[in-house]
Amino acid sequence: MVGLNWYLVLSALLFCIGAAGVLTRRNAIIIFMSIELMLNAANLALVAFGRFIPNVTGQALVFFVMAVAAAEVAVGLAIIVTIFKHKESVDIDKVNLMKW
Amino acid sequence: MAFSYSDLFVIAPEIILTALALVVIFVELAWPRCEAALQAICAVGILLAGAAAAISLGVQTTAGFGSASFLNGMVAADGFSVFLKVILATIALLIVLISRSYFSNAPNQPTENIGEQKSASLVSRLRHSDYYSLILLTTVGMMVLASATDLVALFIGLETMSVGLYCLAGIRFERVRSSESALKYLLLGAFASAFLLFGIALIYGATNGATNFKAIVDALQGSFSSGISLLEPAPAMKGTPLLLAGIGFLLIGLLFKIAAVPFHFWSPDVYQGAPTPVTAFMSAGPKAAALAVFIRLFGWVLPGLSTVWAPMLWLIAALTMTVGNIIALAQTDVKRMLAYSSIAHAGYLLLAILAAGNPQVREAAAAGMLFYLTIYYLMNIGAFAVVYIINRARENSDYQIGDYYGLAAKQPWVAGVLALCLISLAGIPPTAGFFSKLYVFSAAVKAGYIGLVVIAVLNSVVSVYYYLRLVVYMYMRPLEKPLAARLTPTTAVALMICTIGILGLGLLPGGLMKQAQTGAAQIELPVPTVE
Amino acid sequence: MSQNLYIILLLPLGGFLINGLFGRRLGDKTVGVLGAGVIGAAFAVAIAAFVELLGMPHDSRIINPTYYVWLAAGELKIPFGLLLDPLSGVMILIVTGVSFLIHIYSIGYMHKDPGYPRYFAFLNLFVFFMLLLVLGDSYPLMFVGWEGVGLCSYLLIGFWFTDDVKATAGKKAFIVNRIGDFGFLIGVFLIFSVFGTLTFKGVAEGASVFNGTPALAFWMAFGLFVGATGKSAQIPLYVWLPDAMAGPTPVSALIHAATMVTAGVYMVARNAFLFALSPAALGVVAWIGVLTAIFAATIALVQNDIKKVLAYSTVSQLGYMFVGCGVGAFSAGISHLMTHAFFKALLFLGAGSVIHAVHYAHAHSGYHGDPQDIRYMGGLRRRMPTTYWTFAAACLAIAGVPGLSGFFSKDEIIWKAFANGQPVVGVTALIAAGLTAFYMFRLLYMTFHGEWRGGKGQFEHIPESPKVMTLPLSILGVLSIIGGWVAIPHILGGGAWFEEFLKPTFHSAEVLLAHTGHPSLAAEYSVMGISIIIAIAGILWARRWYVLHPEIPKRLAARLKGLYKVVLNKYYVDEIYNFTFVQTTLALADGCWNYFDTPVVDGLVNGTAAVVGWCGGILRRIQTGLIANYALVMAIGAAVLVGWMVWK
Repeated sequence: MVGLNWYLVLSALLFCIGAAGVLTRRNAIIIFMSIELMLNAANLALVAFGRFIPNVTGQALVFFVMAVAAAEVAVGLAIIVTIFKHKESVDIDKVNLMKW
Repeated sequence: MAFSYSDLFVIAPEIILTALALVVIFVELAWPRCEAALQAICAVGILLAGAAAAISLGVQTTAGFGSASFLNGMVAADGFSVFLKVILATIALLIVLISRSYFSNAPNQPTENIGEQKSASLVSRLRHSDYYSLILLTTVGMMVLASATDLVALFIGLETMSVGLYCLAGIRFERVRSSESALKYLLLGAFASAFLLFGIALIYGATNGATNFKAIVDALQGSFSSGISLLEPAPAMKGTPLLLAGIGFLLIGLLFKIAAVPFHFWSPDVYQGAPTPVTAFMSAGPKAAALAVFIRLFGWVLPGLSTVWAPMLWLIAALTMTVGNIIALAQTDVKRMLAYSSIAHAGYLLLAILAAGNPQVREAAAAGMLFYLTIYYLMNIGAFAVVYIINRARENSDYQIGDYYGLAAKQPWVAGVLALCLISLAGIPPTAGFFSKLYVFSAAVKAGYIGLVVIAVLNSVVSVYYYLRLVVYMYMRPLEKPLAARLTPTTAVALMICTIGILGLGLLPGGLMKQAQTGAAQIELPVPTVE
Repeated sequence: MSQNLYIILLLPLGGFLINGLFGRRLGDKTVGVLGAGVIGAAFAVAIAAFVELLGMPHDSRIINPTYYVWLAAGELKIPFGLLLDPLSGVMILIVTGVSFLIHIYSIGYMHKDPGYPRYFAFLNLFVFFMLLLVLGDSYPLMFVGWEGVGLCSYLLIGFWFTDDVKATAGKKAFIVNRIGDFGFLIGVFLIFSVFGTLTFKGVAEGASVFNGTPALAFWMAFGLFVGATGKSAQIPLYVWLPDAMAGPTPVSALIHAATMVTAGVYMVARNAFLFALSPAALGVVAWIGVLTAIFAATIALVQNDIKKVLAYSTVSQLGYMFVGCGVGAFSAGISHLMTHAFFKALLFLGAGSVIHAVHYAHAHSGYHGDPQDIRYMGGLRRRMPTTYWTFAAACLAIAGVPGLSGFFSKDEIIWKAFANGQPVVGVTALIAAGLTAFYMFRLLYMTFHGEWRGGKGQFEHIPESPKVMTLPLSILGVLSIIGGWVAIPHILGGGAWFEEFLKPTFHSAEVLLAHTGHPSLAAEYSVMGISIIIAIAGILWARRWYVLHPEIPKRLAARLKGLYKVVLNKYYVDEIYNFTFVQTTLALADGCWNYFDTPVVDGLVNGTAAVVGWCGGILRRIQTGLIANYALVMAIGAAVLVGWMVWK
């Protein structure tokens, strides 16, 4: 029997992997994917809670999150494309015109 | 499921603005190059939305369905949220007014690097309606966020707002700074959203499936203090680690949106790079919306846990105002200076959240916050609008303080408005900025945060220096470069609204304060009707 | 009248708006007449209000019209109300009266200045804020005036902004005053948290039944006093006032001598009921006052700039006023405030007249020297008789020669110091009085007596100032002589009318302080006698050194070169402040030059501002512009926050 805690541990791991990806990678698209991973970690936790409580709100929220994430990806990729046009690169270390 | 059409009244402002966003796009498709008409449509629609918000409150109270739940308790329709919707509608209106012909002058802008040539062809395809409809849709997101009484609505509102702002920040994509601003905002904002969502998930689990604020309160009471009223006086509660971690993650998401230290790093860069009208919008709207749900959550849902979150917020508030002010001192770019100043103001506003943790003064704190937010958008939008005008006249890609030398001699009215906004931001009486600080600080004193108020006062004394430095440069330095600022009529109207607001509310703050108090006294948490 | 007190505020405000917005179109003549006219009208209104106040019964002379509720938030209710009682009645007469004369004088002094309309607009605005400060019936309203006069002073010091030194002086005044404001605001917040109200009336009622700890009472009063030291240039915040002399001379006369700098004294007197709760705080007031009095007097002994001497003299005299308040003799402090307003305004205007004339002579002989340096003056009494005689009257008054205004007020303060059990303070004040007499007559002799020491062929070009300038001098001269007669003490057969008049205002404070001892008449006579002897001695000493044997001071200065230099350089206080705050900062900056490669500090050359600004310069480097760093700090912040929440 796979209990709630297993799901939660998996979710926490995914979240940490995502966060680590954000912190260590320099490619904007990979960072963006890592963030999606973090969102999905949260989704997993929501679904797991919803399954074990039991309560459907969690699952309903996950659908919203997926929709929102899709919108975010659409906008995000467009922004990354414009950056690429300016810099010929999607390395975030090259994006530091504004500082201090 | 008890859905009735009267529920739609509650979200009438949002519906109107969404419809308007679509209308604007179609209007421009049918009649291209008619910015004046677009602006007029937006202005009328926003006014309508504001009116609808006010009417929905009136209808509710007269028809007597006061504390009933709408839309399954997703959003509140209380005085507090209506007050905020009116604030947000006014912000949108002012932004629409100052954005006139923002895109018409695009060819005049100096190019910054080679990338621009490549994308220069893109700009002609950008329509005014894209910009205006994004402003409207973002406002919808803010309104949902401000009135959210359910974590689901909170998340959706927050994301609607954020995605809109990412687009707006990067809307001048032919400029490298605008794109950079959008990328920074996007990556960091999405990162923060992930924390927020994870927090929601944990709270959902820890409260046995509650996402509605009232349900969370019930769950907390049931498990931790068995039947004792959560409200007065707040019994100290012990949360489970799961719940506390959830609240912590949620807090991160909200603190990011209001740009509190150490989650503030995005804001100076994003503010500086974004188109100036958008910066004005960003500095006023999202902060108001996020703080509204913030105070509702921490003052009305989680005050019982204030022993846990208050020390952390205390530290964050102190850091936020100090870091914001000190770095602002060292800025030579006016737009960036205003960005740091808005970080400092977020610190002052956190005092209201802290004070709201004390049930005896939470209404005073919420009223103070409403008052502060109203004044704050007036002075900030006024200041950014002038920055925008000067920048356009100078045709620079930055906003150096040298551009303002001797401004008063050539442009007495514009300089006067900026001076007034800055003096008000500094909190010098008799401008309204003084009272906004006074109300919030006195609520904090009453809640027992005297030490923090001392820090806040010291900070606002420091801040006077950099605000007035600009005033002095405008009035007491000789003009260095000639200047021909053009003031479009709509911008003039917006500046006039800001000026009248700042001065009028400084001399007669009573009326607005009364409204704010009524609004704060009506904060309620609607119950979900469906189990 | 009593309900229409606001007229007195509207008049200068109207003058400001008209002159400020349309001044350039009106022409200089209209601007001058309008600027002075509104203040004259305000003076007339003040007299009418004062007469009405006199017509009321002695113990209930209070006019307190409330126009509307300015702000109301829960318990916090602040009406927009004006408070006219004996204290503010005296103040509005001083403010409007002296301002009126100085406005008239300015018409002549600022003649043909390109910033003429701007000057009168700012001056009118200043009078508006000063009246608001004095008449406001609550702390916030007072604070509005307090900030407003500061702003005007700032704008007027830097009036000739083409000159960098002057702009810096304005900035210095500004920064030092911010430190004071911080104290003021903390005091106000403490008062609010203790008494729950912010009107003077409410706080006074609360104070009469105050039962908190002495420490609390001390910090409330101390916070306010810190504000007062900033505005009234007391140790350690006095450094801005001498530099503020960079502004036009009538501005120095009005703002930095007669009115604004006395706002701190007024504020302490207004809060007498609060200071009376804490004898410790009063002790601080008295000691700071007397130390400032003697410290500034020694600096004034050797200054060579005519306005600098007067500036340090002002600092010193303000110290006397605080001594008066600090020893519980509030009415004596206010009485000195009044007489000082007359003779110090006169001295500054006289100095302005001299500078004006010398400047004129320089301009007509092609000589370019400092028109303010008294070492290059002398014998001017023959060329400028009116200026000389009025200046001499003021010197006699400030020196404390019996019968003139300064004598009665200063003597009263010194006597009260002895009578209320502060003999050390009293003795120090007596010594300072001797120094005062000396440096004032040194100034008088060096400027007006002896032979002209300036450039050749200039003396004949020196004109007497026009009527529009000498008339205010004459009026102030008369006031300097007779102004103190309202305060003639009982022992000299006077009625101590002034003290009796102010008594209701300070009644509650005096009840609390309850000075029981009734020292003998003989003691009072002897203190008075000593102070007369000291004053006369100071004058004669100055005469011996600067008229009869002018070589003595030079010889002495040569012999005591070290000491002379230290005092001449104002004890190097500016340098010390500069060293401790600015230089250490720069040294630190040197150490981490790599982090400091851009000129961050734009104008942050001053005191604490430099330190804070330097922090800003370093802190801003945290903002690296790199998303990765931002995300890392966010993640660390998140970890700390969540960790705290869970494991606290």
